[in-house]
Amino acid sequence: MSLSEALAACLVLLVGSSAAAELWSQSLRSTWEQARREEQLHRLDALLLASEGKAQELVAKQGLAADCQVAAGPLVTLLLALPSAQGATLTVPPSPPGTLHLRWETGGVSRERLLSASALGLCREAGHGA
Amino acid sequence: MSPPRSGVLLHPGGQPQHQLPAYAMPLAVVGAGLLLLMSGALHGLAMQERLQVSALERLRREEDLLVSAAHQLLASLNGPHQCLQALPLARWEADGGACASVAEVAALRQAQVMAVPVRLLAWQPRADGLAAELELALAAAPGRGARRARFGLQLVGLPSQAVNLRTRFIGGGLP
Repeated sequence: MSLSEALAACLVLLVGSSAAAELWSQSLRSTWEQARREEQLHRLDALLLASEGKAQELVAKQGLAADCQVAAGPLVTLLLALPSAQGATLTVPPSPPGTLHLRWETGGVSRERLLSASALGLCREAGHGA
Repeated sequence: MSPPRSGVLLHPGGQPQHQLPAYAMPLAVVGAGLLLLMSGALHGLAMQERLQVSALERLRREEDLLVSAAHQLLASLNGPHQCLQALPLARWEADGGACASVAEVAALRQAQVMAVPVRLLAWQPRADGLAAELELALAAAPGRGARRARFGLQLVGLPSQAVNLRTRFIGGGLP
């Protein structure tokens, strides 16, 4: 075997191991990123559960309000004070009448829900009897 | 003259020179191939995990849409369309005229929640009027069935108010 053939063998090994290292590194990065996203999803699950808990807390504290448009306002203040909300962003986009649109976001992962103030028991709309 | 030993060449000058083994190239190819194969397998696993997390995110998004649709419907039934609460869905158009026009009933049956169409499949108040069941479905995506959810809720007070929404089942949407 000549020297040039030996060099070619070394080159093949070098190219192969370099491509393998690149694939390996990509895979590890991807695995880490997916684990992070999954963890954020679980964190947002917990935040949504905590949001419902806070709504119940508010019902017990303030009772039934007459105006469903404003009844859910204090809930946002309570949610922003949640200890588990640290690092997560809460936004309240516009929503249909009588509902509150909550959007939790953290690390590029988000969950959003519409909540009805009346269905949460925060208010009772007057004058809509059949 | 006896033949030279394997691995040693005798040049005309008489200086022996070590010969590189002839199997170096196949070994290099096999070694590189094995490394690539192992990395490829790891990459495949990573991609599979990525798909799983994407699927989990999609399921959560769909759950959020279904729960949101239920809340949006209840906001309407507790508000301007309160008279529909006592009627099963099949009677909304015929008997719900007191608080909802035919067009409004159609909009409740086929609502838009966060710009996604959601279909109301069932609204069934219990005979005693103290509870009801609600069933909703998202539009079927290509290659998957429609994801649907069933909820239970209480009807309290007079006129009744739908509260305490509880998810009983969320499923479907599988290929």
